[in-house]
Amino acid sequence: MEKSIITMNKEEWTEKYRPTKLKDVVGNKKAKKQLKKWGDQWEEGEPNNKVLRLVGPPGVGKTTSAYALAKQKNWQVMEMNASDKRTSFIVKKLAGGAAQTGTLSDGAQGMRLVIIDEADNLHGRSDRGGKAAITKVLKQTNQPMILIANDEYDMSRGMRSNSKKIEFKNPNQPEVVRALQKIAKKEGIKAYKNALREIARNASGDVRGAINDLQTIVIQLQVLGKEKLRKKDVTNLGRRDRKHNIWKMLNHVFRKNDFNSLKEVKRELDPDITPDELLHWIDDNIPKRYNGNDLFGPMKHLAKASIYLARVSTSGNYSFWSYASQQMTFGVMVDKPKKSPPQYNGPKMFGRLSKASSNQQKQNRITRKIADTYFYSETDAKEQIPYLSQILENNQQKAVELARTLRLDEDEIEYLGGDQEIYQKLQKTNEEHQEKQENNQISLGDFG
Amino acid sequence: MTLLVEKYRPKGLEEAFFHKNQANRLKKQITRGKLPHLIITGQKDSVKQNLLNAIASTVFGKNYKNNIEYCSVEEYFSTKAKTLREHPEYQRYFSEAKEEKKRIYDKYNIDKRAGRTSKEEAFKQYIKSISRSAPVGKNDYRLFVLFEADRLTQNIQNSLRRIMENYSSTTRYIFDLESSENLIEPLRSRCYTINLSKPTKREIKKKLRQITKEENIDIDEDTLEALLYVTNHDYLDSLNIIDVLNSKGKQKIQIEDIKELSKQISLNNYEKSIKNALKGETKKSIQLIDELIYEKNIKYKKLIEEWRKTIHNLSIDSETKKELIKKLATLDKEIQQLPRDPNQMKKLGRTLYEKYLSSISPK
Repeated sequence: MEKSIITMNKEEWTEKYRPTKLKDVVGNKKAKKQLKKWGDQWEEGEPNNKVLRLVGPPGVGKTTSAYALAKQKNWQVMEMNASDKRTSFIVKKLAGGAAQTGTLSDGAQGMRLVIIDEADNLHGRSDRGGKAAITKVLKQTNQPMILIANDEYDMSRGMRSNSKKIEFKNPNQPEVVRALQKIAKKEGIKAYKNALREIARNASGDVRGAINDLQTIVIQLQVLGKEKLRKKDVTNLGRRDRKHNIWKMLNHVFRKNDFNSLKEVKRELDPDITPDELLHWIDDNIPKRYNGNDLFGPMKHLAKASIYLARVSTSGNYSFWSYASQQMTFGVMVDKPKKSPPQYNGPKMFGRLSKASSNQQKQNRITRKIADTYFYSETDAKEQIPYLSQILENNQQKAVELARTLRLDEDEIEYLGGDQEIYQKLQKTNEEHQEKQENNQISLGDFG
Repeated sequence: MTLLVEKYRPKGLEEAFFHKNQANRLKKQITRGKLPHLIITGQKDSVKQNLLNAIASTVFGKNYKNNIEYCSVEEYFSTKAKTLREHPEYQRYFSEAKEEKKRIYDKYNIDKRAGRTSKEEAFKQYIKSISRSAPVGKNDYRLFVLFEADRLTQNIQNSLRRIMENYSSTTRYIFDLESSENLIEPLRSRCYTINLSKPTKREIKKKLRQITKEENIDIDEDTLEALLYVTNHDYLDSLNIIDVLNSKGKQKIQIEDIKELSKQISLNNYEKSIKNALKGETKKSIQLIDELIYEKNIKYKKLIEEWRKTIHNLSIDSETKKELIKKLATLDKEIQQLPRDPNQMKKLGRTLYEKYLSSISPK
């Protein structure tokens, strides 16, 4: 028995059973069809969209699909992911090279697929200039390229506008169960369907997560010497429990009208979830079909709840919390205009805030520079930013001069929408200027 | 070549093209002797910056920057303390303030530890340190400009009373305010107040005509009119738009260009959000405002101000207009109740403007 544990640890099932054909990838029929069509287009010549971006939640098979496509079409694959360093130099060298020439063995006919994984995860500092370099490669490529990301809005604008979007969604529960059954069969494990269903429900669409869960549970069982996987063995997963409770509550708020059962569900809710967080769960899940005056009913209560939360943080009196959470649950339940189908996702507020604060930091550095050079207050300087970025995008000569007077650095130029050439030109003029100064100093020294 | 806004700033009070009366009076004061402490009040679009620039260059000449210190109070107090502690400019005042506190505790034998320095204490220290430093060159005083001084707390204002008296021989203070009522009476009595109104449409037009002529930019009467409508007769914004369109290589500026640009810099988000909400498309207008708040980092104060302007200009019946303004006032009141911390404001404010936008949509 011990031996089998070791062998199982060696190989993760997610790798072992990674589909090699597109049709074996779980769910996402529409996306797979689009992907296949794109692949077929390449065989007839260069299609209009040479670059795709696959967008979707983690673990639904984006990378797998891309690899499966390459395998079917007999393309070589070049992958860059977040574990590689992706500065502009490296991107140019690797992806740029691959994207412009054919492979050695097959000459110009052999296609080479460039996959840039985690394209939403390029970091300013360690991947300096990477975004701009990738955009450049995208524009010039004559080979198929695929960008993969969880959140497309974390990709740069250049990357988005130069690629065609294919959206991957969470596969539904029966599809995941079927995939789990297949694996269990291949591994020779007897598993009850309701146990697998429990795992799939827990993972809520994350196929990779579900397979990993299955593997850990099976290992535990084998250590204990059990042979069958039953529903009661599926415990301690815990990972999505929290979410599940919230979903139950959202369901009660938006679909039911029962005060008492909502009260019950609210009591079961994880005490970790503060009313602050709950507010954003509800606010960001206000059903899509509410619009116009329909929104006013729920919004009225959420706004009140916000004000109570504000009072908590200004006065430190936490007894207001209960009013806030009652407003946002019972109030919204009572005043919602109509029932709506369940479509819930996590609050987007925290993503918004982190984006805002990273933008803020960049803006602050630029405003400080504007304020220092032009004798403006920083508030006025901030108003100048959109105009500056327009100029930087459209007029290179003026951009270089402005960047010089304002002493902008590479990151700031990029934030304002200028491209790399501006920075290179800026450096050149700076060097020339410095040389001139040095020459002047030498000649003065000669006089002495 | 710099920005047109910068290029066409008056290089002295005699060149001032708006607020000529006030400029002349100040010029006389400066030639007669010292510049008094000043309070300059005016709304955002009153082009205060140009007057301040003119004052500085009249007093100190071309190299005015050596003798001038300025800081944006609004920005300072809306930045997180943690960020300020690492700020290249303000960093030292936090430690200086702590040292000062320790020294005083030692002197009076108070058995207490100097804890963490607050933003306010650091700012006080900043004012003190700047006031103490001596002028450079031939001048016998320096200028200390506090932009958006409305945000100065009572505490700091009171400490300024003493500081202003002590160092008035070497430092002149200029408070840039929206309304002088936000300053305490003792400070107001120490200063000479200048009220600036928004330059008239004719003045702005005249100046813009002159600039476009000098820069060889072709813009006809209708287009200029449209430009002023888009920017709400704001001189700086109008000039900036001309600048951008000119640097796009356009000799003749057309109305379409202006429309296109105002869309790109989301200048029309304010107007569009209200219009969409009135049509019942609240989701769309919420998205527009999200973009302003979370991507462009617009402050709520500015949002409300722009909305107020938009509502005044909208062509709707006065009954609806009255409703809109009444509800906007409620929104303003509610936003005032949020905590001052910018992050908290962003977190809790969203539901408030969502409520406003949904409340004005038709039933």
